Amino acid sequence: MSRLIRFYPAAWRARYGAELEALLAARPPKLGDRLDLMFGALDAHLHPELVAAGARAAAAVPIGHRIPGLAATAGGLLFVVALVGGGVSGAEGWFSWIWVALFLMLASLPGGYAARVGGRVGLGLAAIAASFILAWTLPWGPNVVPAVAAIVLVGAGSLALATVRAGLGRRRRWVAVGLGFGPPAVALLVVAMGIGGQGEGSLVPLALLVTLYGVAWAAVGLVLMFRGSPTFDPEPRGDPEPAR
Amino acid sequence: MSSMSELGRFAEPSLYILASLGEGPKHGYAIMIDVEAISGTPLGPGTLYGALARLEKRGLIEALEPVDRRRPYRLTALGATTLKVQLDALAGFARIGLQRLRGSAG
Repeated sequence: MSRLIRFYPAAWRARYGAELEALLAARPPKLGDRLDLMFGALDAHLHPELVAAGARAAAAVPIGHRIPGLAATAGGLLFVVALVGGGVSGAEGWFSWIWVALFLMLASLPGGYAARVGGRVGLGLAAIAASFILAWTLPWGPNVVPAVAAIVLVGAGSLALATVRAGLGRRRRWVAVGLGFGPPAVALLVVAMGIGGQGEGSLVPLALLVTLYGVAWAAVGLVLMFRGSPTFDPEPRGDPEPAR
Repeated sequence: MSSMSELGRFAEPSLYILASLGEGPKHGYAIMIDVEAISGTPLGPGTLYGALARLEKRGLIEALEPVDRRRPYRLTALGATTLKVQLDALAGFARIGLQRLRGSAG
């Protein structure tokens, strides 16, 4: 979301934020427009009743739509803590938390989407189950390749979809997906080619590299949690054009 | 009937917006382009949405279902009546002003 729109009150953003953002994407603001938006934000703070009256069509974001963001954030942070803790201490107990983290991350988006589009609840639950079973059955530790492959392959679609649902701009979307999958993919390649060696110690830097996946999930989850409104809009989005 | 003068600094942009919507529903960007074409003056995005919120609150326009992220707006019956009253008043004002100008020139 444009930084300028963030100066508007939350209720106002929920009502007009998406369409104003589409407008700014179609016509990037000049200096005068930026000043106009600042005055507009001040006006919106001074007249909150405008949104209250015009909010009939606004989609008030149920708390249930914020839960997936919370799950993604918690999963991402837990993923990082488990990997760093396990990598530093070498204790296997830390790594077992990775399964919980993976479940939270991979279940968060399908769960949230299914909650919005009721007819597709089954599909969402199936995605959750498939993600969970796949993550649970793949071993971590000596057989690090399938586990990292699961992160790269299973999580790729989920995180990419999450960045779209979070309403991230194209640049930030690419940054999130790049941070989430570039380093883990490199780690997978290194391990698969045997470049990293077979010793436990050599896996530590690779494990730390994979933590970026958790960081990306946590960041996208925070956006999902706090932005709310356009997050689980099932309607397709496109580049805005004038409609007459 | 709602008075445009109640809208303060948003009165003039609001009238342009109503005139723009007079030919059919439009979303924000299309309104902005059209108002600029009508008035010759750019309409800032903050002013546009400040005016849209006020017009919607007064029941002069109504929001339609969004298409992608773009939400079209259309005139209500009250909005069309208000627009006509305002334009009639402006037309009367222009007519009188031109008559007096011609009178002073002769």
